[in-house]
Amino acid sequence: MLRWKNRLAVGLVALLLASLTLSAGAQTPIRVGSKNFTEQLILGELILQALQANGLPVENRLALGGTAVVRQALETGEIDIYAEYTGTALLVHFSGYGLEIPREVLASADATYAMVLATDAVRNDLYWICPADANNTYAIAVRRQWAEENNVFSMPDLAAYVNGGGRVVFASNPEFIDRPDGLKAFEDVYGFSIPRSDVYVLAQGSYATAQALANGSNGVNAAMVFGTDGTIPAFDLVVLDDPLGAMPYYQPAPVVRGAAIEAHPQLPGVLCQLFVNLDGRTLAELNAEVDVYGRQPAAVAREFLQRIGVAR
Amino acid sequence: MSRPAGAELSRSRLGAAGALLVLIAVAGLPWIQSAPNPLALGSKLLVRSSSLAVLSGGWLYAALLAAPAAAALIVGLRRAGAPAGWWLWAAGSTGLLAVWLSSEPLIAAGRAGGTLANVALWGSGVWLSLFGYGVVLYAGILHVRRAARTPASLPLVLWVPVLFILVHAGWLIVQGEPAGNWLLRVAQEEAQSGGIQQRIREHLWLSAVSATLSIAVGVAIGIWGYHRERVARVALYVSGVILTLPSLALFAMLMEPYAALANAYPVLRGYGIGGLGAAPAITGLTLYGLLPVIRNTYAGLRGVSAAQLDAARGMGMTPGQIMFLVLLPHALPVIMAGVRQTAILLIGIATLAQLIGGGGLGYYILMGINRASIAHILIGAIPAVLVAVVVDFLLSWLGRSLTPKGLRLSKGVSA
Amino acid sequence: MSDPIIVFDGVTKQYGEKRAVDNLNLTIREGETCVLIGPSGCGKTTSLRMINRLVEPSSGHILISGKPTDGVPAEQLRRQIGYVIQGVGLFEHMTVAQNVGIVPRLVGWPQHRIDARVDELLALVGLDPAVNRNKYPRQLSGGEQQRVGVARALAADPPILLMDEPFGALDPITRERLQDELLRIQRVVRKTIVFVTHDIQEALKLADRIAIMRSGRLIQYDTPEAILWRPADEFVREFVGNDRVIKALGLIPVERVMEPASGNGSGRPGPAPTVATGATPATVPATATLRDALSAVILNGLADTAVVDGEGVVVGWIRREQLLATLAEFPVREVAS
Repeated sequence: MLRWKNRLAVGLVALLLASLTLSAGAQTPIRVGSKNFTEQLILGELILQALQANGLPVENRLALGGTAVVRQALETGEIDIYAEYTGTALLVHFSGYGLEIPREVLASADATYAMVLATDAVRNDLYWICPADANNTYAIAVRRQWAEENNVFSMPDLAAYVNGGGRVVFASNPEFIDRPDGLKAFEDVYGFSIPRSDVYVLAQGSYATAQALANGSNGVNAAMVFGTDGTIPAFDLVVLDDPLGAMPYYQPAPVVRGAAIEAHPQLPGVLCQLFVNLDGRTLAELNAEVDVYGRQPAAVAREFLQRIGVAR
Repeated sequence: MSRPAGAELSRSRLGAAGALLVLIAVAGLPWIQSAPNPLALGSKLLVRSSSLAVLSGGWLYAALLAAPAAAALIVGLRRAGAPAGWWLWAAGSTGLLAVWLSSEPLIAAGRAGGTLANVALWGSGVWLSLFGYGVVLYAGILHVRRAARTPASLPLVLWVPVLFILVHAGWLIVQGEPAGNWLLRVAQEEAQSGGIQQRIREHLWLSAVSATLSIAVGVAIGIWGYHRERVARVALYVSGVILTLPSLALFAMLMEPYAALANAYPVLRGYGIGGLGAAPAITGLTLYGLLPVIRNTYAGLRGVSAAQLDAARGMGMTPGQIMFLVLLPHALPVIMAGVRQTAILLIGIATLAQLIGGGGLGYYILMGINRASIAHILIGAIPAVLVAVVVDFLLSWLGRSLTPKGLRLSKGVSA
Repeated sequence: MSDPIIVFDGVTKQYGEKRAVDNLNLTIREGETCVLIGPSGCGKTTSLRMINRLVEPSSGHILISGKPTDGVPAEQLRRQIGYVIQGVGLFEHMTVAQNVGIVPRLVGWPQHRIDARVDELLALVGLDPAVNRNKYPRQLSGGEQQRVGVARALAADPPILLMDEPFGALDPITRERLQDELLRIQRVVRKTIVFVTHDIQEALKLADRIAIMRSGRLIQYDTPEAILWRPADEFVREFVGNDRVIKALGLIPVERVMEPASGNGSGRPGPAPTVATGATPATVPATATLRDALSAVILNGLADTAVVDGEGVVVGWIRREQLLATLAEFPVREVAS
């Protein structure tokens, strides 16, 4: 009897609130997210401060969690933008789409980027703006002394070492072990295999693995690192060459929701202006500023933006 | 002096044990760890761990730092009672202050002398001697508290050395000069950028909101379960099972329904309700906090004697009046104990909220794990512990003052 | 004869197969102290608790002042009936004053009236209000707690007082003292008291009428004298005990048999007391019963025994002849029943 009156009241209130939020759309801040590790924090701060310098309203939602958490946040609209790697999208986020990924695409940075751009735009209304000229790909590293003793400086060398009876105790993070473009890809391409009982799965990120390698904990003599990690110079590690290109390309690029671009059309321009200045060497240096010299990501980002003239 | 009683002896021995720990630490454990950069701190390759003797360039300094411990050891093994308590308290205080105040000068001297590298951090020696002296201090306080003729306000005064160290640490962090100790340096940076303040606020907010919800829901369920046995059994079982769920799993499971909810009603996003962040974190924390409250409410209500309940019914109280005039006031102390447990539990578990972007001190702990930086882990963990201690103290004071006077007395005592 | 105030009309309480109370018909008159007594499981407590509806009858009615008890909401009924239990049940988180004043507070009295009433009642039950008002139950002894319990039950001035083995948890000395107190209070307030006990001595001392129950049934409902002299059946005879004649002596106050002292408080014909050398002759307090007197008389070698008041002044004599004459009446009484 009274229920219809209740429903009417609820509907009116919802309508009122909805109209309020829609009218506030133009002022809705752009929510910038990031994953938990240093390079992501730096990229996130760069995006955040660059947008702010160009007069756009932003909201800081950095350090949200691991890859899966942050991607889900973008897809469901919890955040509007974060910096993701092209290879990650192709091989992890799109893995359920049943796509055919030809080898030629994986072997080319541009082709990888093009496919990722097209797929996400069509399927998810997400747009990959201007990738940086950097490749933060997975790599395997060893201690310099061990490399010199065993003459292992590249992946083929490592394969020969393992197949010749050498024992590799490997430190990895959870993602590298699980992902098809991780350890499995190296093993397939170079024709060797490490028994999983000799693999120690450590915390997120790549620093625990590098530390374990440096300490030789539990006999670890090889570890997963990222191409632009600050731990490499810090521990004097040797990154094994990947001549056959087993690892896909991981170019970082800002991924933005379509709705955010509609609300702020100047967004792609600002982001492009930023990412064009980021190459692999620059990223590694920025990482080292934080990890080796102990500075704050926000401060490092601000300094860099001042250097390239985006901010004052 | 007469032979000390058993309990007194064990308190003295506690002091002696603490003193022994200090002596071990000073004698041989690494005092300061140093490395060229923070990343290398965990690495055996590049870390130089200097014991106290090496650092100070002689055993004299080590002896000075260990002297209070030696005194405490002698006292602890042979004496008991209030005089021993004062000796132990004095030794513990002196030792704590000596170790604490000497660390910065030590590091400065080490850098100047070239024995320490860029990044310097306390080694296990410092931690163990701080802990050991803390134990000595505590043993002394236990003795003094038990002695006769101690005014009620005294115990708080006895903790002044510890409070001084905390205040001094806080001052070091907020004042401008970069500290020598890497741990303090990182804390300084976080304090300057406002980060640590923000995270503490977030942490308090998460804990407070979820604790309040836990208490409200838990007391209601406890009361309901008091009236219906079956409800009590189910509620206790379920809330207990929830506690066994790994927190990460629980938080992750809560993300989806909240994300779906926020997608269906985007209006909710404006209020901060979504798949990430505070909403699922608070929900998960509230669920965790239910058990102590439900259990204590139920037990507290059941603990009211049958005679009081029969008298209350027989004199014509309605069930509502019985609940509010007899049952709840009587159960209040027990319920407050449950509230305390929940609050401490939630302050601890709230460190995991950052896993789903909920913020709080877990931000630093996770960052520390990601970047292999022990300094960040400690900056997350130590404030969490301090918050928990303060909250525990406040809540137990609150519990005592809310306890009706009639229940505080033990039976057969004249006021 | 006063009016019937509580009437049990065919009251039965059934728990499954068992009848805890079986067709109870009982009339209690205003101002009377009615004691329900019997072995465990006889239904005395259940019957008591049906008066204030803590237990609801399975069949039959209970009438209070002519009105059935289920005519008003149970809480309202209970606020007009005082209730004292063995465990006392004082609220530990409230002061003595708050405990005593609870029912007036529930009923809505103004605070100043409650305060005055609390002081009045504490004095009535023998506790100094100034000392005890602000104490907490945990600070009181068992006896003091029960005094407060009685005060609490009387606070709203109910016409009826229900007492369920109120002194059972106390030591014998305190118990006897509280029984005397109850008798004294009853002389002042004149309530209708329904009292449950399993102690026949207590029943004989306190009751105007005793209801003996067994297996849920009322066996005999009579004055103490009648119960002692005319037990209804073998069960009652056994329940009362083989020493019922001695018990009957306990019902006779000493004043009824003694010869009052003459003006100068002396003059006693008859043999001098035969006492052991050096021992003082035993005396009997004026408030005692003939049973206590018998004890003193035997100690004095069956000689005349002085009856003294609180200060030790002789107020009368128990003459041996008078005592023997009284004792000689007993077989006659027995036959007359």
